[in-house]
This record gives sequence, C-alpha cells and structure tokens, in this order.
Amino acid sequence: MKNMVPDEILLQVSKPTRYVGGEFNMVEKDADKVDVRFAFCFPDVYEVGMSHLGLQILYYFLNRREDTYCERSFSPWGDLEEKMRENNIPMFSLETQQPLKNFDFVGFTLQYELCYTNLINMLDLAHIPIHSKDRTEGDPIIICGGSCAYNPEPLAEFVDIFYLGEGEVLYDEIIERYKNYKKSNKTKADFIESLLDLDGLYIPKYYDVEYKENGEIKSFKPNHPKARKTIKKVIVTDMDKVFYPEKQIVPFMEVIHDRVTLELFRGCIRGCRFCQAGFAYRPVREKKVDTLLENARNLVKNSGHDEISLISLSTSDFTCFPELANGLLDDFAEKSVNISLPSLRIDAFSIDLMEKIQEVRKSSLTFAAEAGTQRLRNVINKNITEENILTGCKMAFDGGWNKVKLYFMLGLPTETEEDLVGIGDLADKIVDKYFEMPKELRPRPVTVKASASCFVPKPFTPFQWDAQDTYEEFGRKARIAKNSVTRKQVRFTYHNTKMSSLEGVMSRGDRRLAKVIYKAWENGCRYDGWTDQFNPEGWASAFDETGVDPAFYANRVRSYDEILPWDHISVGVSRQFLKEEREKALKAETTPNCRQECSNCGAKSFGGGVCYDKNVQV
Amino acid sequence: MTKMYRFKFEKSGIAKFTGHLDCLQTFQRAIKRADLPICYSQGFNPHQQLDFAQPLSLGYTTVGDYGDFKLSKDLDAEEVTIKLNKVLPKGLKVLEITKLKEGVKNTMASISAARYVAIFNDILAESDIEGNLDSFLKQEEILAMKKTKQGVKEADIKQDIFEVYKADYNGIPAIGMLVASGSVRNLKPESVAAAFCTFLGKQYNRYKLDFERIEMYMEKDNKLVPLNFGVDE
Repeated sequence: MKNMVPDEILLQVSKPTRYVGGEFNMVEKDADKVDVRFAFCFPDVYEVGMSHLGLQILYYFLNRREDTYCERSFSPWGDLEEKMRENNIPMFSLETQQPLKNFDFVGFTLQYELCYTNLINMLDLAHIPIHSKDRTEGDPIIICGGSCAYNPEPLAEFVDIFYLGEGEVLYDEIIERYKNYKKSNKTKADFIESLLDLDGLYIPKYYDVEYKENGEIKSFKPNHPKARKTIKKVIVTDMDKVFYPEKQIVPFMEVIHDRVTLELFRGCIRGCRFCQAGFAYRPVREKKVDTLLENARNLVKNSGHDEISLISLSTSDFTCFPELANGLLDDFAEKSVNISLPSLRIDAFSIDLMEKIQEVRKSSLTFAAEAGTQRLRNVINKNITEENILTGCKMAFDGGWNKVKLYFMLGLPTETEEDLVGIGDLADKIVDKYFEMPKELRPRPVTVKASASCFVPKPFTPFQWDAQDTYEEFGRKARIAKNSVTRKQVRFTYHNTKMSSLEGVMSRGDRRLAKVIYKAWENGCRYDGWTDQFNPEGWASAFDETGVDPAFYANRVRSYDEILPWDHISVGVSRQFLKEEREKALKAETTPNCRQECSNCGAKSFGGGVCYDKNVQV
Repeated sequence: MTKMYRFKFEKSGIAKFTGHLDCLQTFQRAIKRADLPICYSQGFNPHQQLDFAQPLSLGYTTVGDYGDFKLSKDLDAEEVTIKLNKVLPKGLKVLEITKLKEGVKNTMASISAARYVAIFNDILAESDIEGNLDSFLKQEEILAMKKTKQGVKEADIKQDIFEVYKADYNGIPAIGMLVASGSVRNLKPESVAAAFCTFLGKQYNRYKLDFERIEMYMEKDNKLVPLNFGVDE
C-alpha cells in the first residue's frame, strides 16, 4: 500500500510514524467490500489521540461489524501541514491512506475546547467544505461526540450531527439506517433528517436561534416538526454487558500514555461543583471485578504493554477496589507489569497498596486540594479536608515518600485573598509535617509542588451561571498565592492564563463564535491547547475583526432566567438541581455524595447505576 | 539456566520510519506478547536484557540487522523465531536466531563493518555509475561531510570504505558498499553516496535516496564474517 505522504516528505517532518499507521493490532479490511466507511478523527497529534481510551473503544466497537471499516486520522503537525498544502496532499486516514473525502462519516471527538481550530483545519486539508450548509451529496457526514459536544453551539455551523453520550449506544442503529439510505434513492440530507426521532443526536440545522439586543438568547426553537425540544444524552446502563476491546493498537512510537487502560466505571459520585464530568457523566455505573480482571488479562496479553492504568474519575470510589487491586497484583506482579493508580485518595489502604506495587521507586503523591481554605472547599463541594491531606502526607512520609504535588484552582466563585494565602499555608504545613519526623528518618529533602490552574466555569455545573475572572485578575491572584509561600521547599507554578480565558469563552459559547473560530483559523491559529503553539494575537484579532466580545461569554454572571446556549441539551441532571447546588455553594454548604444519600439530581431517569444500588436510600 | 540468543532481523516498508529506541521497544513488547522468559536487568528501573548491534538511521530498511537477548530458559531457536514472528508488526521480521556459546562478545562490541545499498532513484542514471566508480575510488582522498561530536566537518573517508560496486537493483541506479561500522570507526553510507554525487558534479539530496543495510560484520581471524558466524554452540 502506498502512503499518502511520499517518503521524501515523511523523512523531512518530525516523527513520521505519526502518519503511516501499520501498528500492531491495527484493523485491516478491504475498504471496497464494506458498506460504511467511518473516519475517527482526533483533532490533535497522534500521540495525544492514541492515548485516548474512547478512541480505542469506538475503533474496535465499529470494526467488530463486518460491514463497517473504522479508520483513524490525526491532526498533522505544522511541518507536515505546510508540505501537504504545498504538494496538494489531502487529509487522509492511517489505515488505507486514503482521503477523508472518500468516507461516509468523518467523526471527531471533542475532548477539550482548545482543539476547535484543528478540527476546522483538518476539514480544510481534507477538501471538505468547512460549513455544514456548503456540503453536498458527495461530501462525508460530519459527526462529533466527546465531552465538548455537550455544548455544541460554537461548532454548530460546521457540524452535521452531534452525538451526545456514549458511543456504544447508538452507532449500530445509525449505521443500519445509513445502509438503508445507501440502498434507497434518498439523499444524505434525507438520511440526516430521518435521525430526528433518535434521542442523543442533535442536528443543529433544525434549530433556529434569536438574540436580544443585549446579546442574550431570545429564543431557541426547533424549525422542524420532528426536532425534539430537548435532546437527552444516551448512556450504557450495564457496564458488564457492554462491548470492551480485547486489544489495543500498539503504537510504534512513544505516546502520552503507553499502557493498557482499564475503565473501572463511568460517572462520579462526588459532585464537585466545578467539575463538568462529575455532572455530565452521571450516574455512576461500575464494572464487576471479574469483568475487569478478564479485560486486563486480554489487554496485557495482546498488547505487550508493561503497565496497566486504572481509569475513572475517582479510583478510590470503586466499591470493590481492594479486591480489584489484589487481583491485579496476583495476576501481574510476577510478570513485570506495573500498575498505575491515578486519582487515588491517599489513605492507609492506598499507601499500603503503593508500597506493594512500587517497591523501589517512590514517585510523588498527588492531592487535588483545589482550594486553599476549608470554606472554599465547601463552596466547591470538594470533600477533602486539611486534616485528610496532612494525615495522608504523614503516612506517606513515614512510608518513605518525599515528594508531594498539590493541585489548586484560582478564581473559584466567592474566592477571597484569605483563600489564596491558604494555598501557600497548606503547602508550608506539609513541609512542616516532614520536619516533624526525626532527622534520621528523612535522608532526602522534601519537595512540595503546588500548581494552580485557572477556574473555567463549565456548562452543566452549578457554576454555569458564574463569571470567570479576567486573565489580568488571574495573574494578580497567582502572585498573591505565590507570595504566600514561605518555605523554600515549595515550588508554585500556574497555568497559562490567556489560554484559560479562551477556554472560558469557548466552553460557554453560542453559535456566534463560529465566525471567531473560523477567523482565528484563518489567522493561523492551530493547537491552541499547546502552550508553545498558542497564538493569543491571532485570537485577539479574530475577536476584533468579527466584533465579538469575549467578555460577554467569559466574564459575565448570567441570571437564572437567561436562556443558556446548551439549555436544549439534557445530561439527565436537572437545571433546577444545578441552581439549588449553586445556592448551597454560595452559602458554603456541602452536598452528600451519591452513595451517602440521593440528592435527586435527575440522573436516576436513565434507569441504572448507583441510583438503583440497594444501599442507597432514595 | 540463562541463555543468550542472537537474532538477525529485517525491517521493511513503513517500519523504516520507526526510530532506534521505538524499534527496540517494539521488540520488547513483542517479546512480552510472545510470552518469552526474558531476563530483566537489576536495579531501580528493570529493563529487558535486549540490545541491538547498532542503531539504524531513520528511513533505512534492513535485511541484515542483529541484536542479542537473554532468556531464563534454553529454548529451541526455531521455536522462538516462530513465536516472535507471530506477534511482530508488519515490516519487522526475525530471519534467524542463533543460540550463543559461552564467551561470545555482544553484537554491539563485535561489529566492525556493514554492507549497504544506496539507491539513487532518479538523481543518477545507470550510466553515471558505470565507469565512474573506479575513478571515484582511485582519488587520493575522498572528502565528505561527517558528523562528529564537535559538529559537521569535512573529513577524508577513504580509509573507511572497504568496497564500492555497482549494485543490481531492478534497473534502478544503485551502489553497494562495505564500510567501517562500530564504535571505533564508523561511516554512514550517506557520506559515500553524497561524495559520489559530488564527484560526478550532481546534486545530492538525502530525501530522494533509499538506503538499505544488507549485513553486519565482525572480524574473525583477520576476515570479516557476519555477526552470527561461528558463534553458535
């Protein structure tokens, strides 16, 4: 098979393996003999996309069908983009090395807001009309899913269909219907229209928006009799019966996460008020330990990876965690396979477990404290106390660890100077804790890394109505936090504030942002989520040239009766619940987690998960 | 009882875009998939006891590269070959495995020469090669740009060229060469190809050429022999 990019060019660009496919476990099919060709596109580079679990799941899920060939495509790095434009090479798939334009579906997963210019760029490189309205029968259907699809409006002009929810639910139905369309004498537009009766699919062209003079949305209405007023996400209810791949594609090159990924559960019981995933992925649905151990054995055997990573929003909340951890240790400790445990709560059990799996190497411990004071942690419903953190550190220091990482957010609602100073105080107290140990027990110096990101209010969270700080304000706050550190063992860093501001605009944006994104792309913006690629001037002039005020989206408090751009979408959690949560937040009142008590958020309507567990009193 | 194995392998097609370390990792993963009883190094960061004789430049193919690995069991070489080939990605293939006798130096320490083919595609014609190779070699000195630790500089590469000859490559202009290789003296075939183009007064462009490594040699009784020659039990 011939590569789309000639060798002569591949040899001149960085990391050419990104573009040639052929990895172990890549699916090979005869593209001429399938009914449906699906291009799974990731609007970032190969090594980021290949580390995304959703891609690995959907790839094998779609390819389990004989009638469908799912291939992959990743955003080219700038050096290749330049050569592609110079030599008129169209955006292509890795498997068959064919133009995306030949596909029936071109699907993008939207994992973060700062990838939107890459999506536009890939469409353009594919010679596919960028705006949905300009596409014709010969063009692929553009479908988008992923967490950012829950506020689809900024991309509404570019995308034909948004898929809201988990891929395993609807794709079989979509493909069957597409095959029927292909056999009929109908058009792609007819096919798309025929999907209006399915929940979980949002087709922007069937909705019209009107705006008030002050810029707020005046009305958002379906313009087709069959278009639903509210589109509800679709989710898997039984995680033990749902498809999970037995293998993973094994890249030739180093990718961000070079390991086997085990998905313990979906959703999160915690309800931290800043966290979109914590609300949008409700309810919690767990897998059984046996299912997971079998998944792990298959994946390790078929990939040759030497690390298993447990993935979930909060690993310690897995009800059978000790059983799972011990099962994995039994199976893999002898086989030189490491087990990595991100998002683990630090307690006696986890310290003991880490002792077992890490034997010699003691990597750093991470605490997501998020805020500097207990009051503010209550505001965001982050159920970790200073005592938890200090006790956890004490246990870890006793066990021989000497590095601690702390994560904070700046600009949370109700934040005062006291909260910022609390960041330095907490870091200092951890250092003090270390020095409480007798000198002979601390042969190595302690380091505490405190890093702060900028709070971005997200749709479907209780803070969806709140204002984000301006980047100047973020800078000022970061300096206060930094100056509050007194111990030299503490290092404080913070995230690029201008990037967070742009994220703040995109995440709560509406359809009027389409022209800004398009303009920014024309101005050369790509890889906006990459600190070294981010082009703030390109974006600033895009806002200027289109007359769109970023502050309207990012830095403004909305009233409860304003129509929000994502109000026509339902993640199951009700608007009323979010509003109550916000009111509680302002009073620094906490809400119990889903296993302690049901708070009637609305996610019970999906008919599965933690809402129906016996130990929950409803 | 541990046992050292020497494998000869081929890298073709898109695998040529896999760099040295990534290729090493690909073999490590294949060894795990094949469930071979590989030995690990001791220490902080245990890694498989597996090494290649020499890195292969990005973009080169090979039909004659070597590596060594250590297993905790004495297994049939043929069986290990079959197991590995079942789980290697396309483009990587084990050609032969030899069980090493005691006291054999590892590939990295052994190698002293390598044979390559440089394929000129359309930057040279067949007629450029015929008749010109002899006079190219008969030059007093052969100057080429060589990468050293101090940077790129011009050097005489003549003493590192052992053979150069016209290669038969399906009618595509190509030369074969045997050059010094290893930690003491090392010459890249690109330097020879570039020097030859300069000699002919033609423009050299690395990206328009293909290179393939054919064989790797060590010295034995003053003769060059392949790395798997006379090392078996």
